[in-house]
Amino acid sequence: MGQRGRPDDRLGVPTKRQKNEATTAACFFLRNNAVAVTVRPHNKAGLTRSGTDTVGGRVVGVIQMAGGALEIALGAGAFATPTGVTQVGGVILIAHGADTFIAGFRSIWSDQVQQSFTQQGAAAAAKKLGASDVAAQRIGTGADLVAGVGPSLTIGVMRRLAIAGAGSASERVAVAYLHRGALEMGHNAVGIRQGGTTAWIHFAGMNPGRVIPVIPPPGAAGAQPYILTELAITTEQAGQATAAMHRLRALGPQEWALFGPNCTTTVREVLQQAGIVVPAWSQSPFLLHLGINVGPEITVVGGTAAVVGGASGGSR
Amino acid sequence: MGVIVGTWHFGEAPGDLPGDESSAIATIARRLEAATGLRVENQQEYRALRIPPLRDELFGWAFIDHTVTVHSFIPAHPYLWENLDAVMTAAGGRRDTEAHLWQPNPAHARLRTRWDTLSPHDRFLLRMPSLLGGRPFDRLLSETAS
Repeated sequence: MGQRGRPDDRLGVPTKRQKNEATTAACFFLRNNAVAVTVRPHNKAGLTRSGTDTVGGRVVGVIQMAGGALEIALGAGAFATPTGVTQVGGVILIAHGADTFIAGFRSIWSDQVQQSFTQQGAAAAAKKLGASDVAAQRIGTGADLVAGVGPSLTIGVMRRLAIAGAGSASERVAVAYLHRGALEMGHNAVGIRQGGTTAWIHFAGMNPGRVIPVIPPPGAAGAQPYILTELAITTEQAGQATAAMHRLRALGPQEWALFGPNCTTTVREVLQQAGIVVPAWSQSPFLLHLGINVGPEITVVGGTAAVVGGASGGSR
Repeated sequence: MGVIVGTWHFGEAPGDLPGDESSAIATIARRLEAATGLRVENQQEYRALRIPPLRDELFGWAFIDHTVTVHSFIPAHPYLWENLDAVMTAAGGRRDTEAHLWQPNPAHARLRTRWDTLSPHDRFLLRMPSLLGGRPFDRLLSETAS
């Protein structure tokens, strides 16, 4: 793919011939151990488009689809958390994530950067109200950013506050992650601290397994080196999480399965009742650990990249 | 993505395991090493026994009311758990039969032997890591003793 620059090429500047040729999406120019990458879009006829686009539609499309998928995953987690605020945020994230995902699909299909309907709608509304083309474009991008990143950012800020406040909180939920190795899956357990004591449960056994107390509890002397993440919760949330724990324990023996019931889905269920939003992709012990700690931030980065990538499509 | 739990009851008599928990774990480690011929590392800080050739470990040892409970990651390693059961029952323990606890598999009874007496084929399969919570190649283990 790509063409090699001639020795007399200036770094990163394609020759006239290269500019005129129909190319694949990326060209690499190598000189003095430095690599410059120029990505140029091309349409189905193989002709390079001119205009504001500097990045290929397919590359942007993949970024848009990834960002949209991350938003949908966090939105699904927020919707499953039974508090009114998180459910509203979840609906917004799912709707905007789907819009961005579809825009990404359209970008890949057409090989031209396509903007989301959110962006187009907001830009059209701004234009109707008398904004210039450039201003309408910026308003559209801004609206796209607010719809996608706003809820993720809010969840992320709330998460940071909950983690920071856990040390002094009387009620808190703790997620324990036990690492096993690069290739094999570890283990999760969950604890609820109320009245100065923490009750821990986990899913143990396979065929069948069941939810039982963790002995010895994570953090105790002689226990395995669990990584603990504690989050402050309200008294009401602690009560709901404790009720979920009792309900899970009362289920008795269940057959273990990769997508649940298992140790990760047990912890997810308690967290949801405690009002903690967990991304839908947190389906293994490590991914749950990651989702609890930086899930919203990952979504913010993915969502921002998708909106910025979509905005590079300019007005159409 | 989960843990296997095994429990053995020792009744009023504590069997022939030392009363001190750390010493009891060390004794079990020595006996497991003798029964299998494999190196067993005693990680006293975390009260865990690592068996490097099997990529597995026994952790979360709990000694409560003449009962010994221990954990490993899922899926249960057949060679490790069969031989651990052999050691615990030889020490006077009676395996708890509650449904979610580890139970021996009659098909794996012949694994209760030293590692070097197993066929190279079986040793190769038993050294393989787990995959998505399963050990799919264990079904290829020999059905008869080598």
